[in-house]
Amino acid sequence: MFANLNLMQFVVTGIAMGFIYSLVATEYTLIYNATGLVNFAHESFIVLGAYLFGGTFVRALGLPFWLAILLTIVCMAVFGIIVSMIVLNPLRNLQFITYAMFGTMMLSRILTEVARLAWGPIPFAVPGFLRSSIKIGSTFMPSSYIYIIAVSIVIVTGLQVFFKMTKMGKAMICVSQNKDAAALMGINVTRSINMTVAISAVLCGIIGILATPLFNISTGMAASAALKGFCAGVIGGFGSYPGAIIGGILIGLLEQFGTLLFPTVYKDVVAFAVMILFLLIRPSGIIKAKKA
Amino acid sequence: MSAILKLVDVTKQFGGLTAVDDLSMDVETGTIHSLIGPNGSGKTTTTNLIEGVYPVTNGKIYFKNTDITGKETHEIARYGLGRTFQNIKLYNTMTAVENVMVGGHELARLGLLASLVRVRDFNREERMLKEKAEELLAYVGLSGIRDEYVKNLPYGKKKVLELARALMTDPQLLLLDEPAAGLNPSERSAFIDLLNRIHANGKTLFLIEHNMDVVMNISEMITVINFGAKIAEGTAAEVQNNPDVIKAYLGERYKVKK
Amino acid sequence: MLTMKKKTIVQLIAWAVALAAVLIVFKSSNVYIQSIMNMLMYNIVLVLGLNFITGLTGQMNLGTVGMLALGAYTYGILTVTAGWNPWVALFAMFAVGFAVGRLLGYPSLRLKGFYLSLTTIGFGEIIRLLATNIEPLTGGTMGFGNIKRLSTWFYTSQAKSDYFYLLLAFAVAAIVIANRIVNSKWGRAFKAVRDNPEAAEASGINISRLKIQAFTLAAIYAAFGGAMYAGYNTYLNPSGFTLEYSQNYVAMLMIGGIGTVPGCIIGATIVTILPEMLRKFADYYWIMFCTVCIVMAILVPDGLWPLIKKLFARLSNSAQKRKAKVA
Repeated sequence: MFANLNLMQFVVTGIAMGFIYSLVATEYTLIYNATGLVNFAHESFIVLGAYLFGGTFVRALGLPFWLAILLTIVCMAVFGIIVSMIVLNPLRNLQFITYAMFGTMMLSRILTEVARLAWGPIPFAVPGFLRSSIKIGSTFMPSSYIYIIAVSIVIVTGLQVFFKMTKMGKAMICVSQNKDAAALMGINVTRSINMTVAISAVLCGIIGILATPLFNISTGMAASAALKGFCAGVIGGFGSYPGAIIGGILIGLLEQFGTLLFPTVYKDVVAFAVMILFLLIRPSGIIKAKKA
Repeated sequence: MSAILKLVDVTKQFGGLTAVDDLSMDVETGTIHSLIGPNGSGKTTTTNLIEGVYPVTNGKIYFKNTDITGKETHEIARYGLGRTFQNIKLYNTMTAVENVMVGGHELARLGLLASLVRVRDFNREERMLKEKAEELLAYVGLSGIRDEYVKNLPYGKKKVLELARALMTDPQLLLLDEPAAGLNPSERSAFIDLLNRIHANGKTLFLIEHNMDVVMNISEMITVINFGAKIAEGTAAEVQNNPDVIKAYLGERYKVKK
Repeated sequence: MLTMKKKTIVQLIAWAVALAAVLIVFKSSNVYIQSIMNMLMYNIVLVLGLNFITGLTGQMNLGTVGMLALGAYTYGILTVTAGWNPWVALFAMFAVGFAVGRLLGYPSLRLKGFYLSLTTIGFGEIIRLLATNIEPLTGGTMGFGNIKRLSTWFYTSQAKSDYFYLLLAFAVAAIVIANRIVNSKWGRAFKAVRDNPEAAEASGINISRLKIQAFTLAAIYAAFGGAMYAGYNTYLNPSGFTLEYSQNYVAMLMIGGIGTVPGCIIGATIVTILPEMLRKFADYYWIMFCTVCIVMAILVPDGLWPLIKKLFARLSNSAQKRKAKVA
């Protein structure tokens, strides 16, 4: 039986999906480090990005892919700043985190409903976008996987460079570690947070774009990826960027290989099960983060 | 007089850092005993060790001749140890009287299920808690703010409220972590009067304090630590004249006011 | 804190509202209204349970539907597959509640805030997936049906309106019990654990035990709610137990008044009835509702009930001042 299985396929799919989870984990880690809030609305950000790209720019306006991607990124950035100003900044100063969690949950619903009203409830695909696939031996490597992996690596490295080398990036790190001290140093904390959320929103948009060939665009397309992204971050080490990557890939691979052991229907449980295991045994995750 | 609290060779290490170093100390029943030392000398860590917040790396702690080393904080509290905190830990969403009532939670013995079934007993317990809390508020002079939400209270009153809360269980030993911190002189002298009254009622007080006014004037015994180890112990006069203490902490000679 | 006189006023209002509810169902032969009122009854029970964890002890619980599902399916399976008497099956809800309370309570000791929420989400999803996939037991996506309604010795409640009185009785019992717990040393202790656990420990309160008690209470309430749900709907389907519904229960709690019993009732009522009343806005309803929620989360995070109390206090203060002026 095992002779017919293409383990390489599992690895390839696992890594590609894993990177998606890693990106989700990175995105919410960004917001968490900057504001102390967990962004329960990230699922809707991803969906929004996908719809903007596929629904508006490509299908409605017929723009070439590269332009559509660019415009989506710009829109998501602006969107992120607005959301940060109106919702996230007020929420982060409340007494209990439960209030903020509730706020972002409601935000998620609003955005999802807006998407449903604006683009209709019927899922659709973006024709011709990353639909091709190469065959290496007996393994299928869809071009979307290649792009996911490539883009993820670029983003992750880019973020590291941004945080270590640029003034704005370093300011964001200061804000994430000690807001009062950062403010006293002359850093505009609110603006820094807005920027962080904007980057996060752009990340979500990119995830949405990358996920389009995989899932087709619908309001529920990001639901499981979003939750698994949370798991990835926790497993890898909450608050740590390398941890987010490791956690994501781990889940991606375990999910695929898990189907060898038990029925495919339980694939979605793998992420949660592994997370709960980690939470009980090693809550700080694989890489102990400096800020938890 | 026996020692109500005994520390025997207590050591606490956090990784490579030794916060408390082979500390032995007896707190005699019915006294006011202070622990002083420069910042970072291990005073709060010692209190946390006594209270069971951290486990000791080595050594033993005895309360009323019972070994409490390694026990949980809430168990130790039930033995008769009360505590106030350096940075005030009151319950912000509740009123003053409710805060004090929580202090007495363990006085009311009915379990959760029993509370629902034995209605009359439960009501009686609730009434008992309320009356005792009100009594204590009167005792510390805070009856006026009974129904005020704690977050609206001024700092000085919050400190006194914490004390009232700690008194709900009639603890024999009160651990007071920097009780005078942040109080202006008149508040401080009122607080000292209160402490003296509580002491006169038979309680043992163990203070961690920086304020020399308070320490030197009310302490019957003072233990001085530096870098987690005891460097001197004695009465106020003895400690002030101890050259090690002067070197580590007091700087110029501090004269007792009496 | 309300004075004695105000407490009586609140109680009177509560009884008036209950009476109104009964009359509505009694007078109306509209099956639709009856369904909503029935749904309201078990929603109230569920929110009251959630309140113990999220309202008082301050831990965000997003697994309410998981607990609900466990209660509902257990009740269904016991009464239909195993043929138990419905009333006996009801008692089994206590057992389910205890078990789930311990299951979720222990992790809550080691996990805080976000980690705990994730675990509760995981719990809810796992239960839903199990319900969907263990077909022989739960009927999977085809659903689990033919659950009998509870019947008492004086009448068999088959009609939706009759069943309402039974559910109302359960809801009232749940309210009374919750009220006793919240306005007592237990409520204070739960709040203490949320506000300042170190101080609570120093007063002798066993935080771990209290957290588990909070979860157990919530689980028992949810299991009962599940039995009510199963008995009323007579049909169970995993699609009714999604994360979205857990969020709805949190919304009920947050809007109504976090930590208070009247708040739970208000919140449950608003979130259950409003969508039906504002049917004509169907498409925009959720957007409006969620926007209101966010605005409330920022401006009035404690919910409506504390706001109402404050208004009440201000009105009575100005009334007293007027009386004093006249005198």
